[in-house]
Amino acid sequence: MIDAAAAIRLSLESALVATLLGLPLAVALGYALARVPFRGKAIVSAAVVGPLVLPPVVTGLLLLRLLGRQAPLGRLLDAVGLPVPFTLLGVIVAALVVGLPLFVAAARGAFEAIDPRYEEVSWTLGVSPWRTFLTVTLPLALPGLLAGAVLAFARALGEFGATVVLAGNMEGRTRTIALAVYALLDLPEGDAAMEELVGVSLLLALGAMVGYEALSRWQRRRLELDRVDQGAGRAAR
Amino acid sequence: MPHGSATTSALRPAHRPPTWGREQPAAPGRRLLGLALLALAAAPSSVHADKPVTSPADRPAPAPAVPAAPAFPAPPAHAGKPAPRPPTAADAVPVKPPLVIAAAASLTELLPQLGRMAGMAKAPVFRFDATPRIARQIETGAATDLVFSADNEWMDHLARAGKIVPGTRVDLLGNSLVVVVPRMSRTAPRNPSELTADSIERLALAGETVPAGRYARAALASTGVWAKVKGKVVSGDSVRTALAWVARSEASAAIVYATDARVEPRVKVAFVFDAHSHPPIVYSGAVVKGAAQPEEARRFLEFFRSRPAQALIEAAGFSTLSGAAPR
Repeated sequence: MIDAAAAIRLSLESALVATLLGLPLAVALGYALARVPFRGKAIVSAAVVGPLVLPPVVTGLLLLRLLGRQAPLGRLLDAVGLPVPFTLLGVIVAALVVGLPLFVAAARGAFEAIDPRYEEVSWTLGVSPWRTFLTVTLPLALPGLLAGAVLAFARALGEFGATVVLAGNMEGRTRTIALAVYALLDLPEGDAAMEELVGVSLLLALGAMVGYEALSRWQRRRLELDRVDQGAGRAAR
Repeated sequence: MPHGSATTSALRPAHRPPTWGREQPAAPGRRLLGLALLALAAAPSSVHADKPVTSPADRPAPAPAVPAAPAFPAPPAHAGKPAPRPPTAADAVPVKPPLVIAAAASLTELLPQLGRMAGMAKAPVFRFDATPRIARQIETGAATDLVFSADNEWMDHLARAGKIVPGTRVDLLGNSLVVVVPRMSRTAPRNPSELTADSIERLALAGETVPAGRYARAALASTGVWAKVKGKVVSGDSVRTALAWVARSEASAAIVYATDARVEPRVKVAFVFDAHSHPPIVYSGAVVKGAAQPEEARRFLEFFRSRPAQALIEAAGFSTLSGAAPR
């Protein structure tokens, strides 16, 4: 009745797509929040963090209101053949929205940790800001961005509340690992399949934690090493 | 019903094979409160029970709009019986602990009313949740006197696990399945075959793992429309999710219980499924093995047969079971 393999595949696919879609958003928002002074920064910052502190079911209801048929945006998406409620796209949107705060926070932290002088030197050498961003800033922030991606991916895998309200709990269409475990709780004979999914969840979570830790360390070591190099350079002068 | 003489064996015996019921998520606040109260009730206490259960003085007034309630019978067998727990020095004033009742979420409104009407010495403590979760709590040993299930399959499961007192299980009430549409909807299907119309773009059901979802699918299958509507079915976890989607017009129609349709003002009932189109929807109750107050629990089950209780059950939109009520 409940296909565990399908749930695992659906979870991995939707979390992966949500993470890939989140990457440009997280880079843009993270960089803007870290480097660019603009009016209303506090509001943008708070809005991005919102889904982290809102109960996911509330996030789901708000998304349903925004992207459902009762809303102009929802009707537009429906008209162009991208209906969000009750579809895989709904699962992805829910995963993206709840994972984005972690992604943006990690990206912002990664950009803030980079010494702005590297970028300034690059500009004074006549390299355009855009190329500077691509060749100096982005590579330096890469481990931090990847760590954020791992966090967002893991959060997307665990998403339940927003998904069940926005996308429903439909076998092979929107039933992710979390939703499948919940459905199995309702079946007296569901224990065996549940063990399998719980095991997979634990393994994925463990993998994500190890990955996050390794990437965070890489980021720290890279920036620390940079600082050591700087110190050595100064000493040599 | 003669007071104090009825026994549960006189009730309609629970039938075993059908395996259906209903459940919905309980309001989280209520659930937390229930847990907190449960923790209080389960805390070691110096309570014991020598006092007769009821006296006219401490019986709360019966709910209005219902014929006068017969007294919650206080069987003489119980009065003066030694308390289940050994008395301690602190027991100078014997206080009866409240009855702890775990019940299907769909009974959230009805059971407290029946509890008040039954006039117990102390208001019972309720724990409402979806039947599967209630059953899993009892399986893991949560202190409970009485369980009400919306699902025979789970009651069977508890019986097999030896968690309910044999012979105390009774079928108590029934529910029916209806199709609801948004209240402002201009077109409403009048029968199952009209669910196949193009105006019904999305048909919301409870998940196939919960009883409401199974009943709905069975009703669609037996009326011969399942193959035609399958493609536009959207399903959530519980019957209340399906209801919420129709209330927000995200789905054109939903199949829910008659009692759910009553609690959501933004929907209206389009038609009622024939009772023979799906397995019988039967709620049952049983005394939990190891109950602190099995006698009082048993008497509450008996109280369901009384005329005022039956009137209240019908007023709440449930159906009474033939043979359950004294005529």
